Amino acid sequence: MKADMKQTEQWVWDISFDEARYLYEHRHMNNYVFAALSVYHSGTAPVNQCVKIRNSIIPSEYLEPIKQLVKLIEYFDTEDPTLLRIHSSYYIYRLLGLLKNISCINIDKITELFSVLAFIPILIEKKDGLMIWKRPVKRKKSTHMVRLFELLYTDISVHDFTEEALFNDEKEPNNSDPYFYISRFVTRGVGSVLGMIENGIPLKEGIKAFHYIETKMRSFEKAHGLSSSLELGKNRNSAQLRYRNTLYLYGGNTLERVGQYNDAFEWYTKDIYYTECTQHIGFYLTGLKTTERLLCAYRITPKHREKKLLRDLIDLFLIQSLKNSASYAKIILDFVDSKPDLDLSQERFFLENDRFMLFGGESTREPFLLSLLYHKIIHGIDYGDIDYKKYLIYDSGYL
Amino acid sequence: MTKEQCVSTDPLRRKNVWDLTLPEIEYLYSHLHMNSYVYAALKICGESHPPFGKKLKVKQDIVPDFMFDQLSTLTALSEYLADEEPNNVRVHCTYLAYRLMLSISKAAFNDLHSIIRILALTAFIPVLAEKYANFPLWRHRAIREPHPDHLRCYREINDSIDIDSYIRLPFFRDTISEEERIEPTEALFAFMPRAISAIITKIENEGNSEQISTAFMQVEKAMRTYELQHNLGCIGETPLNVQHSGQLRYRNTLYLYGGNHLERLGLYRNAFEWYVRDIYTLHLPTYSGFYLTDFKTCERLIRAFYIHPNERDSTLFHDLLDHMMFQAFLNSAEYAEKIVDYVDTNPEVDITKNRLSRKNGRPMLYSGEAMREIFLISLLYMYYVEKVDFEYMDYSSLFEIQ
Repeated sequence: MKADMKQTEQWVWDISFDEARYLYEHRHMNNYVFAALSVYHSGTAPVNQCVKIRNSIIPSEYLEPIKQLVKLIEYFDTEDPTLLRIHSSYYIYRLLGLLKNISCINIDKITELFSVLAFIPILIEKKDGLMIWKRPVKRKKSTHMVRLFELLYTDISVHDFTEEALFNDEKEPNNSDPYFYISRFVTRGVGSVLGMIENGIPLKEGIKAFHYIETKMRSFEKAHGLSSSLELGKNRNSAQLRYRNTLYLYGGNTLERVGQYNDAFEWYTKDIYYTECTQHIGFYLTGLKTTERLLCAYRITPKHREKKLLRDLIDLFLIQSLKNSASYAKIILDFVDSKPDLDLSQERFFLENDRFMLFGGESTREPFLLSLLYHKIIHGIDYGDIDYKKYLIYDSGYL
Repeated sequence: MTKEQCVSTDPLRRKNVWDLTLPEIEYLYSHLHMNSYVYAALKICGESHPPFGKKLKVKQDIVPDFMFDQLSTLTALSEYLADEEPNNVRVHCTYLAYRLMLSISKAAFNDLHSIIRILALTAFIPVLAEKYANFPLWRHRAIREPHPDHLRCYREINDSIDIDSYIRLPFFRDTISEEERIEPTEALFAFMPRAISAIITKIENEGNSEQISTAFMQVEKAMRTYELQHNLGCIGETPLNVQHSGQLRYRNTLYLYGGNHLERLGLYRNAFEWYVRDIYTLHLPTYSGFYLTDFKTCERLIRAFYIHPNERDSTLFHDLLDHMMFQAFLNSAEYAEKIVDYVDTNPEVDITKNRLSRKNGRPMLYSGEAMREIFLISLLYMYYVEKVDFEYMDYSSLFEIQ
């Protein structure tokens, strides 16, 4: 399989399931992307069939938007893909908006329902050509990527690294905020390491680079008075959690790939292995990413008792993330409903002062993809073994 | 003191807990039975050399602002312990302790460890105020004489207990007549103290350990069966396997004392399982309710924490314990607010009593355990979690002793 992986310009939808699995297990592929590809390649989802929902098993408060979302399957082959996608995004926000009362009693049921529905946004976005991964399977090994990777091993400061990272990207604004520099440093640094891993450097070499990033990150945080751990009561922890997620999730994934499970566990749970951290989630996509780290930690720990509390912690993070998604959904729906002239086919709505609001794409699909991961990792339900018939009734005839 | 050294337990039958020597306390606690709160109270007075009878000034810089004034007022009583009219001091102490508890409502989670340390270092004041006023710390002798009601209740513990019949057995002043109608939850609340106090009396009187372990398990089986029959929670239905948080109270009684017994036998793995049964979940704080029940739940976690060997596992376990402690503190502050409001607005109420009577409503717990347990649970936390021996309590870290 390794010899076949020469596809610098291939996109994730173009590769076979075996190729995807090889990348996922031995090089690099995002968990969400692998989950989406697995659902697609398993071919078990009821696409092109007339399906209805089983009213009796779905909590009544979620019934209406789910009914509308499921109804879109009927139009899968006949309707304009962009129109379908817009409808899908809108109904998903209606559904997310209802999650404000989610609790430990029903989190398992809701995520099961979401994992069943996941194929709808996945396939609708695919059909409309929306990118689930915004680059080729294997990033082009550019001089920029190599330069950044090499810089990680030097004593270059985070500030200078960030400036250097922007040398071919003049649109980036100047900023005096240390969070700007450290976020950019970690994102670009990790991106360069992953790019090099995709291009064949030994994983151990990648791990070494991740450690360099961590050292620079911690030193910068200390020098700029940013909390060295996610201390309680500090402002901006949500921003800090976001860039740390990037480092510790992908660093943890790489450690896991080389079988260093204890180290991987440490990276997956670093700074977030306590319940108080749920208060720092902020934006729900950051919360879901944090949950993803904990799920990865759960996946590799063999200790029964540790799993028990870790599962609870995962649930607490997921509950808080989904509650936050409900708040965001309300803002989005209010915004969309009050502006009939908005172009809903966009993934982002640009506002004043370079601000924007996420609308389509990752912000709608990630609660579903995380639910797929949750059921795979917690309950061992393989992506190809999802019990669609539990929630959906298949009509006898094809459309 | 080992059993061999303590040749006979007969002298202990005549002793009040305050009359016990330190070796006797250790012997009872380690080999027979003693409530952990009582143990902590006795040890703090016997071993830590508390600065009572002296003028104390609270060191301001290490006390959170929100509790400084209330702590200073309570601490001022230390000077009068053992000298002034004891009951007067006790009554003042009770009221001021509630004021201190109330101040915790302003605490943030970050403050938890400071609060625990402060309450542990202050614990000697309410404990000694009650001691000097002859207010009971434990309502019976160090070792109970087996009473026929206890013996009968113990004999009736078997593999198929009928709880509805069991609770009609004669039981001191709480005997329930055949005609009286009892709801299922109330039946469990009546069943558990009867069965457990019968077992504990057997332990105190050196009953057969194996038989006692079996008795605990039979009580558990009866409880679970009864709960299942009456839709009061089954495994996996809710995070804590209960229908409502109040059920934790009787379960605490069973699993705390059952766990203590197993721990004394050296069966640490089993003891751990009993201590944490149903409550080993990070969702636990959402099931908190009345603070005295919450403290008892915390006590189970504290004991489990103490005997658990796995360090990494402890990270989240410690987190669970701390969140439950914090929630219990907040709930105690809520209760204290009701108490202080009631006392302040009803000057005629008799505040020397254990319970405050109310014209409209049930009496409220006031003196004794309701006031002192927040201090005692803090002592247990310091001892079992922070591993600070009672004899090394550093009073000078909190007080300037004059």
